[in-house]
Amino acid sequence: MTSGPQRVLVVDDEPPIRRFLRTSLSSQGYQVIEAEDGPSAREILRQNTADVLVLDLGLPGLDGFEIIKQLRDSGSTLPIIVLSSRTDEAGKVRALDLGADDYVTKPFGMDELLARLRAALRHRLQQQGERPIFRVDHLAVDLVRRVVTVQEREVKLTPREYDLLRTLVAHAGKVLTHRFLLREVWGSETDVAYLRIYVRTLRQKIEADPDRPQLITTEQGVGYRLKAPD
Amino acid sequence: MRRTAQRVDEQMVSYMRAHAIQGPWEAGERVLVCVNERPGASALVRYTRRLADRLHAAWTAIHVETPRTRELSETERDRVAAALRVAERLGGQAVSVPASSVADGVIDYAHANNFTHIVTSTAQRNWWSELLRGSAAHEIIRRAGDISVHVVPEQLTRAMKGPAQRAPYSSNDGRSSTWDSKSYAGSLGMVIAALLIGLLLQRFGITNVALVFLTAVLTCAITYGLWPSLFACLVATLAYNFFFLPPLYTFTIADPENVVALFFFTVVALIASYLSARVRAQALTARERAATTENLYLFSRKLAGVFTLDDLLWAAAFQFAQMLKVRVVILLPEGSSIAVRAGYPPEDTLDEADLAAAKWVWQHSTPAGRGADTLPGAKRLFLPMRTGRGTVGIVGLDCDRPGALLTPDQRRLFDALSDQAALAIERINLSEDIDRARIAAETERLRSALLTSISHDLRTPLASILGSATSLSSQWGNLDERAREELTGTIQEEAERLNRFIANLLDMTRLESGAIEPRLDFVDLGDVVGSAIRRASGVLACHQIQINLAADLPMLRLDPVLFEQVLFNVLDNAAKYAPPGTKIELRARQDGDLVRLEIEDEGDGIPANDLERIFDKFYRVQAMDRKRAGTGLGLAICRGFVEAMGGTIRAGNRSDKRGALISITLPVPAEQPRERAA
Repeated sequence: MTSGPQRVLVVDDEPPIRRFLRTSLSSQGYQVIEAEDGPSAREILRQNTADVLVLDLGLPGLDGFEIIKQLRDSGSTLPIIVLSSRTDEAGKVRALDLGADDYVTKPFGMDELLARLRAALRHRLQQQGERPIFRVDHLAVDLVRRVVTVQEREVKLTPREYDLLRTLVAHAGKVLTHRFLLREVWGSETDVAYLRIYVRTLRQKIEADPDRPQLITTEQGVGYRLKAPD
Repeated sequence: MRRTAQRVDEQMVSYMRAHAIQGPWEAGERVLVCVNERPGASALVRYTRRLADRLHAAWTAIHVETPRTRELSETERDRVAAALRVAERLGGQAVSVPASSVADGVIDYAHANNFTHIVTSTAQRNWWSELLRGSAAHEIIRRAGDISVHVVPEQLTRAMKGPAQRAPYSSNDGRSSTWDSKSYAGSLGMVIAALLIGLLLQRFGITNVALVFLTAVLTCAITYGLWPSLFACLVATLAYNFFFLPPLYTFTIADPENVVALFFFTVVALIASYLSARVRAQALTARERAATTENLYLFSRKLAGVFTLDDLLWAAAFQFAQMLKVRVVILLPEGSSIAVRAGYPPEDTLDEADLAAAKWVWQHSTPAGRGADTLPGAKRLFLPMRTGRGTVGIVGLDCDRPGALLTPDQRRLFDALSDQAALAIERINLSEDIDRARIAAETERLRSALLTSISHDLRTPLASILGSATSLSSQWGNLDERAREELTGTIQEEAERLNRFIANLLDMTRLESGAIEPRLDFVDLGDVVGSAIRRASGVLACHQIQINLAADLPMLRLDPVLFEQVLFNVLDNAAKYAPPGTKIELRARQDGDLVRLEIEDEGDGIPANDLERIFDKFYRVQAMDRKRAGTGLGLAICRGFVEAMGGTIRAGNRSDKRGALISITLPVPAEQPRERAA
């Protein structure tokens, strides 16, 4: 771990995007490194000087997917947040399945990107050791005793519901693709419909208003996200 | 100039014909042209067309089928058929009527159908021929009454330019009433039968047996026609003389009284057989015509019911093949060349020689290929399908029979069929042209609506953003905290609005280009509703949202991304038209094999005649308060998406209070997902 400011590598071919990211992220205490295409990004990554990568999927030349793949193939755990276009759900899912940590849809608000950056960096720190009790809003999950409480009242979960919740807790704040959750919870890639049924029952047990979920949110066409603790 | 004018007329007439427009001239002048079997027939028709054009008159070509028609040679019949086709092609009507004489037919038809002019030609004939047969032209003039008769000398029509009419693929050029030994044997048999009956009667003392022979002759005339009956007449006369008139068993006649009797017997027999043969011939002509007419009628009715070119070509190929007992291919122009579009039995390629022949036909509009003068080496015979506007396609025919492909009768039938098919093809081509023009106009209208919309909907937020940003940068020091927040808030809101507008434009474009392929999946409706409301939380900030979903809703087969967008657009729309602070309710329940999702607001509702139009592109309800006007795309996209997922979306008004109600129905899938027993 390095001390000092976190270094964000921004890879985007649009100068205005780089400029506003540089300005905004710097003001938040990040150190910003810029690359305008794949090859120069690769060069910077080789020197291993970034703590998190913000990567545009629509790069010319070597595309974003290729960068993610090469990074993960080389064993890097560098957090990656991809910038994608609105209608490209398939591209988002592909980037996440290749190993990207999260995505932000262009155009995006700075709040959203900062939240994703924080979640990704925190997750990296957490990997050293899970905290025994996870708390967000009125929900508490005791990962050692496997007890789930909502507003201090214990709720009964089936083993599979608990597995689903635990997986979400382990990656709180990050979007998890359907495929990832199915693999983690069911052990195989079965029908997404089962996942949807379990998310519904889980919401009914842990959400204050299941019709307007605040804890487990749906990223339509991509997957689910559990709210991160503040 | 004259040629151009004629061509324009021709186009106009054929256009009107193609559109079944009955001209306003219908009540005025009408011209009837008599088509005969003489060489100038087609030229006479063309002459009439020009006359009719000058008079602004509707015109008809008539051919009268008299008993003599059956005795025409093939060349003569071809001339008649060709002249009638020319008439149809040039925008006239063509009719054939049976009558005992040309003048009868023409005059009756002209009077019955209100014609004001008759055009006919005179043949140069010997005086005796005229005396014997009469002249149709003179007869017509004599009986025309108040109809003007134009008599064109035949030499003139022959001199008129017109394509030579030939029958390159006719097999024979002989007369149709060929020597038929059977009918003569039959006639002989009948006379012999009469003779035997006569001899029998004589044994009973009855000697006047002339009527028995007369009966035999009449029977021959009705059964076999004119020539066999004349033959029977001759034999009967000889037999009567030989067996019954003294001195018996000689051909001499002793009693002058018997000479007179025999003479009148012969005359009566001749007249009777001539008359009966005529009746028979007329009946036969009528029957043949009825059969052909029936077939043509059925064919044209079949063609009239066809609306796509492929169906039409298939029907035509099938009909040609059925009626002519041949194999058929139909070629239509494709780009700069021609290609096979239909065949019976199905066929889609031609060999080199055939293709060359087909191309030649396309370029020259005259037959080529097997049995024709041009490229006779080709396997098939290719014939043009023509209308007044030109050649619309090519028909290729072949069969395994050696020799001529079509008999002359079949060829005339083919010509009639092919003319109908050609007109039908032209009709479909024209209607496609009209469709294209309409689509082009529609596209143009949309394009201008799009431009208006873009210029308005893009410029308004851009103006706010640019204005706010420049204020911030130049007035920073003068602005207090609140003013700065207001300006940055405007920038954010307007940028979001711009983003929504562009997203809508993109969705619309994807829908229109057919790029939307719903990825149907089992989806929990509550999940999509939740995520849509979350996404719309910005636009719904000033409204209360109430969600009311039945607890036992089944999983639905939806594309969750598209459906979230549908809900977002409907909610966005409700938020725009319902005043701030009012309630927007969203509820869903199962209704048989449908799930019904309803979104109602407390706005002004939707005017009754806008209920369907709000789903049109760029249609906006004229609200009093224009400041929140949308893009006019949101609901159009909703309808596109919902229908792509097999659902329906409708707009209505609430029955309990003021407010709009959008109702979406979605089919419940036959099976629900079940988790495998773990």
